[in-house]
Amino acid sequence: MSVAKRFFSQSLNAHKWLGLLVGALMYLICLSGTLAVYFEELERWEQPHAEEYLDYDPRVLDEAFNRFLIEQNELVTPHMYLTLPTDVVPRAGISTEQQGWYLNKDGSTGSSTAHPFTDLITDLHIYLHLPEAWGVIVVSALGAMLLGLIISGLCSHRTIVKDAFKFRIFGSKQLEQTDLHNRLSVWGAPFHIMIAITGAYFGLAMIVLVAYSQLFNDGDVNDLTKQVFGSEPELNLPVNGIAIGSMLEQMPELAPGTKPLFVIVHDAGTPKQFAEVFTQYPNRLIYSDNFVFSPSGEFLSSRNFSEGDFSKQVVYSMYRLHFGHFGGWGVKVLYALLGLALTVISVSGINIWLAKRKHVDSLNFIWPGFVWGAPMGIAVAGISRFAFGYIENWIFWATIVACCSYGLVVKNESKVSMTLKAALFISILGLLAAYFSYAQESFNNASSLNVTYVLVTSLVAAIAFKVAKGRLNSNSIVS
Amino acid sequence: MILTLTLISLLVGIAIYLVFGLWRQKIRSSLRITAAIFGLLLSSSYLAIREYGVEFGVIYFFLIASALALTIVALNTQLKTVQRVIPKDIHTVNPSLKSAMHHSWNFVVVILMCLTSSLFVTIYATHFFIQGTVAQLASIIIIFPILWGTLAYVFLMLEGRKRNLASAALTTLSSLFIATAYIQ
Repeated sequence: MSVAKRFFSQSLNAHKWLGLLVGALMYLICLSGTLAVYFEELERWEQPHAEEYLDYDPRVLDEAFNRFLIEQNELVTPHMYLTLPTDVVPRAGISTEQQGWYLNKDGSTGSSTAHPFTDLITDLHIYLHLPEAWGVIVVSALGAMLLGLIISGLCSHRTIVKDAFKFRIFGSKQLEQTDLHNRLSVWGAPFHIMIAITGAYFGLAMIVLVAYSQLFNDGDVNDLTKQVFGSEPELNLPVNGIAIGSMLEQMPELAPGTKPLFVIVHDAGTPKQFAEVFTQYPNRLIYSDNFVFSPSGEFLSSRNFSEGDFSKQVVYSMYRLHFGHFGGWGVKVLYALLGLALTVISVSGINIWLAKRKHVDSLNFIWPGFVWGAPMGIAVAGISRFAFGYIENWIFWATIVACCSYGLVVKNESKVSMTLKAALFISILGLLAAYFSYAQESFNNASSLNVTYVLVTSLVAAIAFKVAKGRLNSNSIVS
Repeated sequence: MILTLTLISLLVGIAIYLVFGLWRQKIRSSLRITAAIFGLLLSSSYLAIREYGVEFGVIYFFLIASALALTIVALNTQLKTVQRVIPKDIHTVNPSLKSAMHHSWNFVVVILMCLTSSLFVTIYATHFFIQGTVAQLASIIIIFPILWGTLAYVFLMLEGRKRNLASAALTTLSSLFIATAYIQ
C-alpha cells in the first residue's frame, strides 16, 4: 500500500473510532443545539400570556424592582436581575437566582417566567442533563472531539475534490449515507469548526483558568477572572433602594446607540451591593459592554469590553458566535440549517459504520430507536408540560429507552424507522394540540404564533419530502 | 436596510444561478464565470459588512459559502438504481473482555491523557510566545481544543507498537504536567 493510501486508510480508521466514541452524544447535542438557536423564541412561545412591549418608562421599572426588594424580601438572593424588553424578547421581568416574574407595562408583577420545556432543550444542549458542573465539561470535551473529527474527516477524504458536488441517492445505503455525510461535513466545515471552538470554550474555560493559575498565578483563579472580566467595586454603603431608573437614564450618554439588555444587582440587600447594566452594541459580536453603578445610581466604571483589549473581545464574543444571536433572523435560519446538517452528519456517520458491517446485531435495531426517539422525547415532554403542567428530564430519556426497546423487539430496521417517524409526526401534532389548549385566548399573540408556524411548516415539509421521495423512488428501477 | 438585504439576496441568488448553470452545461472551468461568482459573493459580503459591521460580514461570508455550496450539491442529486436489500445474518452482540479493556484504555488516553497533555503544552507554548495574561488565556481557549482533537486523531491513527508507545508517552507527559502543577 502506498504511503498516501495508508495515510487515508489510517485517518479513516481514526475518524471511525472517534466518531463511534462520541457519535450518539454528539447527535443529542447537535439536535438540541439546533433547537436552542431559537431558545428566546421558545421561551416566548412557552409563556404566551406575558404582556409584550418595547417602550418602557425606566422610573416604572425602578419602582417595581424596589417594591419587589421590600415586599418580597424573603425571596431576595445575592444576585437579582431586571430584564429589559428587546426586539427579540419584548418583555420585562424580575428574577432571583431561582425564579422570576414578568413585569407588566404599568409595573405590576405578571406571570412566572418559568419555561421548563425550553430549559429541557437547553439543559440537554449545555449539560446533557448531567449535574451542571460536570455536564458542561463533558459537552465542551465533545466540542474538542468534534474538532478531531473534522480534522480526521478532512484527512481521510481521498476524493474530496472529485466528489465535491456529488450526491447519489437510492443506490446502496452505504453510498447514499457516505455522500450525505461527506457533502454536508466538507461544505459546512467552516461553520462546524467555529461551533466546535466556541462550544468547547464554555466548559473548558474553567479548566484552563485553574491550570493556568496553578502554573503562573499562585493558584489564584479569582485574580485571573478579574483580569479578564474586570474587578468588582468594594462598597460599604447603607442599604437603601437601587436607583435603576437613574442608571438607565444615563445609558444613552454613557453608551450612545446601544440597547440595554438587563441589570444585575450584586450582593443584593447588603452594604456591598452594586448594580451592573449590560448593554448591547449594534454591529458587534461582543455580548455586551457592562457599566457599573453604585446603588444610588452613580456611575463607577465600565468593563470596557467594547473598546478594550482585543483578546477580551474575542472571549466575550464566544456566546453570540455560538448561538447565532447576531445579524437578525437570517443568521438564525442559517445556524439552524447548518446545525441540522451537523445533526445529520452525526447520524449518517454511525449509519455508514452500521452499513459497512457484514452482519446485523442489536445495535442496528437500537440505533433508529435512539435517533427517532430523541426528537420524540422532546415532543412528548412538551405534551406533558402543556397538557398536564408536568415536565421532568426523565420523560425525555424514558421515551428514548422505549423507542430503543421497540427496535429490539421488532428487529427490523426499516420497519422501526418508518413506525417511529410516524410516531414522531403524531407526537408533534399532539404537541401542537396540547399547546393550543394551553395558550387558548393568548394563541393569537406573535409570541405563540412564531414557533407554531415553524412546527406546522415542519410537518408540511415532512409530508412533502415523503411524497417527493416516494415518487423519485418509484421512478428508480429495482435491480 | 430592506434595500440592502434585497440587494444581498439578489447577488447571492445570481451567484447560485450561475453555478447551477455551470453544472447543467457540464462546464468544468470558466474563468470569467467563476470570477463573476466570486465577485457577486464578495459584493454581497461587502454589503453585509456595510450593513452589519466587519465581524458580522466575515461570519456571513462563511455561512453563505456553505449554504451556497450545499444548495448546488442538492441540485446535483443523482438518482441511482435502487438496489435490492440482501438481508444480512443477525448476530447477538458478543463483547470480548480483552477487546472491551483495549477500547476502554484508548478511551482513557483520548479523554484524559490527550486533554492534560494538550492543555499544558498550550499553556506553556502561549506563555513563551504571547505577551499579556488575557491574550494568553484567549489564545489557550482557542488552541487547546484544536490541539486536543488533533492529538486524539493522531493517537487513534497509530497502530500496534506505535500506539502503545504514544500511549506511554502521553501518560508520562500528562503525569509530569500534573506533578509540576501540584508542586507549584
